[in-house]
Amino acid sequence: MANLAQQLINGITLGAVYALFAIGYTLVFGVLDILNLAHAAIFMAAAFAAFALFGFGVPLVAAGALAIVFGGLLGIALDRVAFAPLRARNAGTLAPLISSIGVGIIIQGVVRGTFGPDQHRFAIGSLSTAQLTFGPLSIGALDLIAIAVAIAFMLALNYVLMHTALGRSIRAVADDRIAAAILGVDLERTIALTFFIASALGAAAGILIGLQFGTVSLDMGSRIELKGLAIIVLGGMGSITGAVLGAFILGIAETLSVALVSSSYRDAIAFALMFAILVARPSGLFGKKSLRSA
Amino acid sequence: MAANVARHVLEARDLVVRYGGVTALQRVSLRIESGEVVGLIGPNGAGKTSLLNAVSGVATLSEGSIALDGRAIGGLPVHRIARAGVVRTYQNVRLFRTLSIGENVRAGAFAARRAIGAAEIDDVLRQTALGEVDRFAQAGRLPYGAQRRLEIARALASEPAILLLDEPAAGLNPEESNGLGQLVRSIADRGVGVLLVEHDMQLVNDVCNRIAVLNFGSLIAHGTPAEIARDPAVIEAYLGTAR
Amino acid sequence: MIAFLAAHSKLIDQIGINALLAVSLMISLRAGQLALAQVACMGIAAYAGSVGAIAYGWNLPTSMAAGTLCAMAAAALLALPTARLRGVFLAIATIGFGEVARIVEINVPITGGAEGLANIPNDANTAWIYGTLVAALAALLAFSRGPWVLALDAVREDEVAARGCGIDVGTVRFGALVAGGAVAGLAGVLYAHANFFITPGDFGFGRMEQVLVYSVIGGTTSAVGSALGAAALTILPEAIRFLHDYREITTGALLLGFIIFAPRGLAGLWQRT
Repeated sequence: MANLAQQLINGITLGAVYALFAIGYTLVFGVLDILNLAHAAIFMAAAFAAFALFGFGVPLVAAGALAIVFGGLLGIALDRVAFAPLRARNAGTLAPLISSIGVGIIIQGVVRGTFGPDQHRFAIGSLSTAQLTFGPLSIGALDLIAIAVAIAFMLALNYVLMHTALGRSIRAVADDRIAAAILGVDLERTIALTFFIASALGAAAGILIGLQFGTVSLDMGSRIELKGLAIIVLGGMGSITGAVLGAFILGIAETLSVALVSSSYRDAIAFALMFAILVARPSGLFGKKSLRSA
Repeated sequence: MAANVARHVLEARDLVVRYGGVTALQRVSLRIESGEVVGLIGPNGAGKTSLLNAVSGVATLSEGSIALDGRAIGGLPVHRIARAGVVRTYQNVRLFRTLSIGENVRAGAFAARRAIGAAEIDDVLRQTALGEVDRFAQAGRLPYGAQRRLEIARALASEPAILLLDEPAAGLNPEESNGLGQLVRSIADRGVGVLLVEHDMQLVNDVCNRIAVLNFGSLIAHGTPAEIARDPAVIEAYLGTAR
Repeated sequence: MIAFLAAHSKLIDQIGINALLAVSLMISLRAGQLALAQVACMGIAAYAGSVGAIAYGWNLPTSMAAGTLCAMAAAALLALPTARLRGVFLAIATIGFGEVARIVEINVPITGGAEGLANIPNDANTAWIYGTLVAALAALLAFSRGPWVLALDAVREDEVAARGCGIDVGTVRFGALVAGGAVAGLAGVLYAHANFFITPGDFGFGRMEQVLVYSVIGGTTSAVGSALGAAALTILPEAIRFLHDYREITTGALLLGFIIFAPRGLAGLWQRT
């Protein structure tokens, strides 16, 4: 029983970071109908940024905060360069996908050029290995921080979306871009801020993963990128609640499967769940875009 | 284009179409025969497009039956209904925009289950007053009125027994509407049964043998143009919005 | 000239295989389907053909036939759960399929696992590769005047109108998926027999992304364009070797430039519409 509880804690930790990452995908998709394949590159670049700042002696929290802002700004730049020109000419579904791949490659190239191709240790002293114990259960200090940060960000996002003017604008644009524009919403500003938020969340996820695993590497994005896609399909494209729920379900499912069955098919669980949902309920657990199927 | 000399009859009986909680069609029955133009009018939201969608297979029938020449076609997939000979056009023109004019017409021939050659394509284009356009030009570049006619040309390439036209005069000027009316009449004269959904009462009165009037999903009147113009239920439904 | 070709024969073979892959993706893109399962089908065929060649001594044609059939079967299987999916949904589902295939390949003993499969007979030479490529291109060009490709185009342009023209959209999509799977399967077996060593990592999302880039640069609705795009981008890393660390940035910028300024790709140079 204690072992099960321990696994649940591990699963929740994993799920929390998955959630932060997945929200970034689903926010952009919900608002703009775009699948942003540069999201993972920003995730990775922000982790490197935090690593570099920390290496220069910036205190961890400040380094993290700065790197998150950096990630957000990268998101705005991404939109300006890759998506805005296509919006102007109504370019369809494939084009933004491809241009996001292009920007992702550029970001990869810049990071590789700056830091080299190898992975780097991102250790922060004793905090990296500290464990807190509650009776038979233990949780790493970093894991606890990860859950706390993830939940804090999700609550902050919920607040922004539900209780601020910006949030109302974002929801309006997500619902009907043309109507929102007619009603006076500043489209470009709203979209830019949406990208800032989505990318900042992805950046936070990257930094947390980097700390949890103690390394930053060029391919750290590619491992999570595809699972993030599976999560948003599972949760329902465009639904933030769905992305969060899907992320936690996946985190727990993966952890339990490693503990109870075997670890070799762990990475396939995300896609097995995704296919199951696609067959049973194509709009996902909380999907609002039911027009996505024929 | 080979004219359809056989006689055809489309019988829609007691059609009911529901979307969620809304009943878009309430036990509507309609009959269309070769050679006649049946008008379908009614205020916005009356169910005209729902009826068209039901007959063409786009909308699911909750109740009722549709038969072409005695053969049940209600519930069949859209492409099978088209192949059976019931073909439609759409309210917002649905052309294959980046394909050429000739290719659009050729695409229509799938429903006729045969390939058509250049001569037949030219023939259909001439019928729809598109004889002068370049067959290889992109369909999306045509002026609006010509696009409407191309959509009808494509439908003719399907060799329809019954042709359903969804507001084909929308956005046309009086001269173009006139031309459209003549085209519709000539299609019927060649043996096709036409259902014409329209708001343009001038066109409807000029061209239709009979008119069916829908309101709130039900058929409220059915008769010749003269009868309909006098019908109190129709007048009330429109409250003077008829042109 | 001959010496030049001989020195670069590996690159030339690569171009041929990448061209086949780009063509396989083009078939689905031509139908408007963002079905990104071709590299997964490539991998399935590569393993099927290789296992047969190693265990049963199959020659190349047998290996190709068997591998391609397996790839087509996989594509047909994939068509079922994805029948109602469009756009980004379809893309994600097919990417997911690829991941599952890759993970299965890592774990199933017959494939040699993550270490890969070695000692595949090295009998796929340049002639075989380009012979297959030319045959595929010729077949597609022959079809392009006929009704099948017209149906693909119609489905891409407007599914609703296509149905109204009597086109069975479901069958068209299924056909495009399986045809693409077949061409990708051919590429897969050729790849295996040209490299005598394959790993599951060869058939992951990274390669699928590359193939997508070939298709976009070349022209998503043109078979010849896609092949040229593959050629251009296979040569590119070699050609810009002198840029060292700026290679990736250049590739990304090129991709971005094309999609924003030349969305029809290289094929836009000669395509009428």
